[in-house]
Amino acid sequence: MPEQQDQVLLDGLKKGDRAVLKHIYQEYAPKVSAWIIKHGGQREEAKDIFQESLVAIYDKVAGQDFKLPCSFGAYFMGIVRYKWLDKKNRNKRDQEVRNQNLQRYTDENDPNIEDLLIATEQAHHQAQRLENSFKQLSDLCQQLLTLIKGGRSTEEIIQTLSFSTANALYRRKNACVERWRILLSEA
Amino acid sequence: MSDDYSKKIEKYFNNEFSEAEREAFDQELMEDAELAKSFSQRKQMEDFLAVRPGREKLKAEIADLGDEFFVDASEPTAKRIPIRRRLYWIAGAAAAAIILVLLVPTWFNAPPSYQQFAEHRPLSLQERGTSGEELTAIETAFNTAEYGTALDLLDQYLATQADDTQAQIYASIAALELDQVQDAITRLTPISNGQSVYQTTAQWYLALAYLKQENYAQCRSVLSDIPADNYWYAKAEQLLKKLPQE
Repeated sequence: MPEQQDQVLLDGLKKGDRAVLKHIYQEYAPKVSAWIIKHGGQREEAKDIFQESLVAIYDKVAGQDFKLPCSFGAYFMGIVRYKWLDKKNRNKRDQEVRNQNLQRYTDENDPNIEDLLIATEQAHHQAQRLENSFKQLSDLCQQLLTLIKGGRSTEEIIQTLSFSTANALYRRKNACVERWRILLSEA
Repeated sequence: MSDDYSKKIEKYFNNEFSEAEREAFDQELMEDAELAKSFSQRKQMEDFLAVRPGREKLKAEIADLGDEFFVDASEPTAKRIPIRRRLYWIAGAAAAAIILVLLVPTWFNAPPSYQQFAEHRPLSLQERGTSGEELTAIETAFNTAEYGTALDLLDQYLATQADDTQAQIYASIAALELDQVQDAITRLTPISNGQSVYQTTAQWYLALAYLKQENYAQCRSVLSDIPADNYWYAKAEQLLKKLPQE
């Protein structure tokens, strides 16, 4: 069962709190390193998997009131294992094979969180698609969409981005969204 | 996607619907699968825009942490130990070898000492609105084992940044190193009873403070509270085994 400290770690990760992130590295870097090397990887790969796993958890929990069903460590190490096996078996796309592999490397004592691991991986994959397509937009579109979502006033955005009228701004916004939608469907 | 869909969906996200229009739109969403699909995709984009700044911040924060913590296991801390301290180590090891030869019969019964367990991770303070120079001075003093200077600077810093738990912990370590053991205990106790991420770090140093006082019972009691899935657990177990039996 999760304890209060587990939720503190998750909330800190969500906020990008540097002290919490350092603590997570301090605590889990040796474990992740040892596990990846034991399963045929390099330290450099362990470092990348570690970072990706943190971002994946962010993608799953950001913007919602997520309560951990298990300890932070079980969730984080679960994602690390899942990502590593996915990477190793990239050619074996069959989900069933991956799930069997995951079971083989999961400790008997670990909580049953397979559904959460799969959902986290899906959220991460979706966020990557959104990010990759967003980055292909023009700088103007990226800034405009970010400023509008960030709650800045229309007048302020018109001034910052040198639009003539609010109407022109919103016409451009619609065009940016449409472009993003097309890029996303191609991603 | 049709222009009509697109206009409706944008009106929704721009909050331009009247209440009646909104209700009609909700109804349409339930009846028109294609509209619902477009809406769902557009909502994902909108939700992503909301969390993207936080995602970028997280990526920026962890960009350099990997290099710091994924170091070669054969030299886990070599990079971080200043040369002066390495010389102390060599001198210390030589002295220890001589003492060992002289004291072999009693060596195995000797209780553990603070020095055997006092390895401090280098201090790296986070930015919290104070000037970079002040933080650098504190880090340099601590990491070069100038604990008197470090404690003065940390106390000045804590006067305005009282809630920086990491700084409180390092001030306690500096106090311990300066043999101000009771002061260290006073600083560490509330953190060790708190809920911050430094709680177990505080427990570990509190145990070291009691060890320094040769108060083995308190030392054992604090060590026993360190949870098994924690970074400090292995060290705690090691020290527990060496403590004299009551």
